[in-house]
Amino acid sequence: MFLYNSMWAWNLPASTAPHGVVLHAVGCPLENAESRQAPTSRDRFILFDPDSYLWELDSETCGRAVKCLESYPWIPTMVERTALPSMTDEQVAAILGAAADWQKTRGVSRIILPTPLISESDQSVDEFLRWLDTAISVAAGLSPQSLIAVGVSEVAIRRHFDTILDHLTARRELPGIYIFAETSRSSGSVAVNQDVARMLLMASHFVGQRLGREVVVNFADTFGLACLAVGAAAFAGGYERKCRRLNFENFEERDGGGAFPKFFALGTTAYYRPEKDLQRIRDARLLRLLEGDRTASSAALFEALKAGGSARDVPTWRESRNNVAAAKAHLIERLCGATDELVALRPGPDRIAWVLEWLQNAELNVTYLGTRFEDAPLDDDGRHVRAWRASFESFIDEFELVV
Amino acid sequence: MDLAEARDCLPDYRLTQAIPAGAQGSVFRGTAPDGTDVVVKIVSGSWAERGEREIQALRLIRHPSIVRLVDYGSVTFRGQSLPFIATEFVGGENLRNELDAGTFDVSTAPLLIASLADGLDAIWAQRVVHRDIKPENTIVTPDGRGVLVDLGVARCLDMTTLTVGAGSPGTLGYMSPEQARGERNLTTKSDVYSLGVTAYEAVVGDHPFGRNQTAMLRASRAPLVPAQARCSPIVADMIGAMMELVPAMRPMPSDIVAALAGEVV
Repeated sequence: MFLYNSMWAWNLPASTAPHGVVLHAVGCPLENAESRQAPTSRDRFILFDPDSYLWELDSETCGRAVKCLESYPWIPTMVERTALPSMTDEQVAAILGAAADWQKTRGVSRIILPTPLISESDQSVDEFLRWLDTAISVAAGLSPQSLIAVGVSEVAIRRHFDTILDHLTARRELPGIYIFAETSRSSGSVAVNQDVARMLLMASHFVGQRLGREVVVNFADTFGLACLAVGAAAFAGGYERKCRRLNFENFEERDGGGAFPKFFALGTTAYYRPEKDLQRIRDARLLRLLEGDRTASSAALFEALKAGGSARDVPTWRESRNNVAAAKAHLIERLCGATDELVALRPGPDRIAWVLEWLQNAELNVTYLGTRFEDAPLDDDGRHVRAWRASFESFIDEFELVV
Repeated sequence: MDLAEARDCLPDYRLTQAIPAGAQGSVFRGTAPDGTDVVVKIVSGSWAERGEREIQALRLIRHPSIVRLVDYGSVTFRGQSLPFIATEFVGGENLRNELDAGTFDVSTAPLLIASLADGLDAIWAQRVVHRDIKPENTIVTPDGRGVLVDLGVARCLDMTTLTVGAGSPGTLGYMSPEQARGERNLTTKSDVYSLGVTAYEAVVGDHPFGRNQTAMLRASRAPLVPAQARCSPIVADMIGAMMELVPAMRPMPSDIVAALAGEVV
């Protein structure tokens, strides 16, 4: 499943139909959330992320986000936060219970139980393990099924993830996990750190495929497709930067307007500006590289470009601020389509082969586009695909997954 | 502490024999006040904390493959309070002795491995990790089952194989890679690795790394059970899986029990 990170918009645009959504506490204060009609799990898979890993956001620079978070009963106050390690198991259980109870009232498909983010390499994982065991106890009595949040900073993965994975796979009672990496110390719009990629693949494979538990990956952008191929049940992503990777800076309030429309191409795993990039790609007779990414939401754009016109001729793709509805709908359609294609394949070798072909072709396309536009690079050079492909290949080599 | 001193410390016990032990304390065989045959360990001062830990672990666990706690408390010796632990005496032979003497019946290996794995499952249910599974800490009962002894404390006891210092308790030749690295937060998968090495030794008759046990630290993977070993492919494959370097790749103890169910004679 592809789940759309509906970070700020509580309700989805009616025209789009992702397999599901992930709502976020940081996106809406409690009183507003309770007064709005939430999507129902009858027709979509609904998750609500308690966002407890954002506890450390600075209220000076991220005032709006912190205000939203602090309106929820499971977000400890600053005083309580500093005392996290001295909280009793009962206090931890009470926080988890509050998060679970509220999610149940919103009709979620799975309950996400929060745990502390493992943010530093020199930090002990003891506190995380305590929350993990408490969450497992809380989850035992919950319906619907739970997912336990597992958040690790990219700088702590190498030191701690093997231990965390060991503990996850050694707990038969583990219900499922909701896993993500915090990548605030990297630049770029997507996570390219190979440790992050390996962590997500390991969790998907060992917890998802081998242990048979539900794994939902978030903030991995389209690398989530690779996670699906090795055992994850779903991945979540989105259009805005804060929905694509978890970078605390993305919650800072800055001057400036809304986003511009960008065309997502799975064929290169990159996002292009309709006028500035796609027209140049068309002029170089390379639009064929993106032909597979045509969707109902982008068909008019393709027709205009092929006819020699401009994205300006298509109002929904005109490069103006906040004109992103079509771009979002296109992204959702494209990722749902790719996900459907992938999961229709036999689990194991066929899915792995699909991902390999996708990543290898994307790397080829990105490399060629880079050569053709060497003097004036495209908005997104797609260079992350090389790291993704390398990570995926080394993962299947390391664990001898047959292709 | 010698036998006479121990008798003075525990006058209600009928201690009959001193058993060779290491730095962690003194061990005696005897009879408890209620008539139970026991092994009594009096833990020396610097090991007191570990003694307490073993008591806590044993109090939680009741399983036929884990030595049973009969009594515990403290004795005063030369003005010092020392913990003592009395566990049920397990009839049978130490696996190390059987392997060294060549008397271990390989056909009973699946039962031995499965019973020990079942014990690990019970230990882990209490979130306890033994951390020193090896032939020396395994008693083979007359019916071929295994019983784990010295839970948690005897880690640095053994001096016949290379034993690392207090920072990484355990016996190097049987330690999981993560235990050898000094990781603090071990799981049952670490014990599964140690059980895998023990099981390998039981069916092959030799340690997987022979006399060069430090090679384990550098190995990219543990050796496979040789084809000529007197065990079925299912047992051989399971032992290989138990010795995987990545903990997540190792089976859970209950998986081992299930996989070997058809192999037990």
